[in-house]
Amino acid sequence: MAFIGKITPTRGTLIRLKDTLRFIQEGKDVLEMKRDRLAGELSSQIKDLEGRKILEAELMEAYAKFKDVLTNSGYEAVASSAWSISKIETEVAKASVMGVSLPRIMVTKRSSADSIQDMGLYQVAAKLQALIVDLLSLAQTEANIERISYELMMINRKVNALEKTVIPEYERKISYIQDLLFDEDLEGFVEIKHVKNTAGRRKT
Amino acid sequence: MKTPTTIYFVARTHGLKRHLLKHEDLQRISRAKDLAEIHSLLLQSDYSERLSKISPLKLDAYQLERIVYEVLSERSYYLLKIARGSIRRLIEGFCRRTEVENLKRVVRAIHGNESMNRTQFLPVPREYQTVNFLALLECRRVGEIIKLLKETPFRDLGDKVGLYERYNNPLILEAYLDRIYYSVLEENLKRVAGGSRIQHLVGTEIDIKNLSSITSLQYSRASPDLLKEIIIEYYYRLPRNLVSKLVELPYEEILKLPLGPPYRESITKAIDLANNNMLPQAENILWQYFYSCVEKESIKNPGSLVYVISYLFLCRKEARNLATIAAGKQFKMGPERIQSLLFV
Repeated sequence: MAFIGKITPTRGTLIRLKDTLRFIQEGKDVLEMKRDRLAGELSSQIKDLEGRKILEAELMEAYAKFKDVLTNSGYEAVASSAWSISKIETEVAKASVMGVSLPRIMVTKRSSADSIQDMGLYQVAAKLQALIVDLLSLAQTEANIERISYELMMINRKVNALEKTVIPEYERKISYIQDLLFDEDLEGFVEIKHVKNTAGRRKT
Repeated sequence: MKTPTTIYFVARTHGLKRHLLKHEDLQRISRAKDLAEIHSLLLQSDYSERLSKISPLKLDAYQLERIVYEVLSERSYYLLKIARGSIRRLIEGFCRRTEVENLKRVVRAIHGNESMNRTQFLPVPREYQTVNFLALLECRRVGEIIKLLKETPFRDLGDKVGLYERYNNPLILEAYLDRIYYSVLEENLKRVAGGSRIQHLVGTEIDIKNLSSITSLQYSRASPDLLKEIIIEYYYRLPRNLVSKLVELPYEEILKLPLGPPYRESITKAIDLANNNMLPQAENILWQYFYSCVEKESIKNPGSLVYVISYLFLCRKEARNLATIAAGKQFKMGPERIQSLLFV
């Protein structure tokens, strides 16, 4: 054990090590609590991902309709009609869940297809506008899941490192110093007893 | 009594009309397996000169659409080049619709805060431009366009800027551009012999445009106030009071009004198609009727100027059909599906 040679086996060191171990264990408990909370958050976010397949199907449906409209009206006519559609505006804020920074996408202004006269193109544009908002929400969920998963991975590593390496090492250090101190105490006791016995024999 | 100029001009148009693709040609093109085959089929037509510069394997639908509209421009402005006197003014007035379409594109781009470039304009030869399109590309606000249009036939567009700002909808300006276009065309029509038959075609076109705007915008639940502003105030077979009632009614109830027989059938079909979610086909049905009128007029009046105007309309129909086939082939649509979107 490499560490043994580096510590001074004194009572002061023992007290300090015990304090540190208590602190580490408390830290591990906090990390475990954070892990549980993030796992809960992750499972709730994963439920939102279930809508992805429906969203993809709707997007494909809108794309099929768009192909019809583009074929009917031509590239340039569709492109110029699309210019007049006002743009969607969004804001990205940050929210913190157990110290993990998660993006929150807010649609501040929806786009409007009111300037489109062609029925088919209007229908496709209106559908895509709704789908874009859903896509943003899905992107937010995916980003959240990615960040939470990464954080969970890091917490797991930390908890494992504490559980499997740091805490046992501290426990071993403490136990080593305690054994050493016990031996020193015993040695001192034997010495005192020996001195007492020697002194008693001299008196008699 | 027709003047020799008119006779010569109509005779030239007869010759030019022979260059248009026939119905069977379009059917064959729509059955082509890909764009490369379309390329080879079109090599025997007016499109050959431009197409021969592109490899068939590199041809895409967008390129073909550009070529088609370049040829359309060439055909329209060729007539203008050979026309003289009042006929020239009429053709000039008619061809101005390309400029109107370009102006609409500029308005849309400015409304959506988009920048466009010169390749996104429909081609108009420099010598026939009444508007400086390159200067319009620099505009960033509608007010700047109005300033540039001061010395052009579209100078009155400024009257509608307030309304455009109130509704925040470029359709107001687009409709007014159409209104200006048709009023100039109407003036030109009064000066030519046989203008009444042409008036029939143009009047039908405006009626169809109004009906198309009303049905489309009612489908998108636009307000009746906005619809009133988008109507082209020229009434041919749709009386003013009928149009006023049409804009007030919800989409599903349009048929309750006494629409004239020519339009009733088309509107009924359009509503049926829209209810079956076949919106592009519903959009086309009214224009199918219009082009059938154009064909009839060209057959009935082979010796008058209406034949010339019919030819110009048929050039537009061909361009639109070819662009549709090209896009359909690009998306690998079957011939039946493409043919359902054609004006036949």
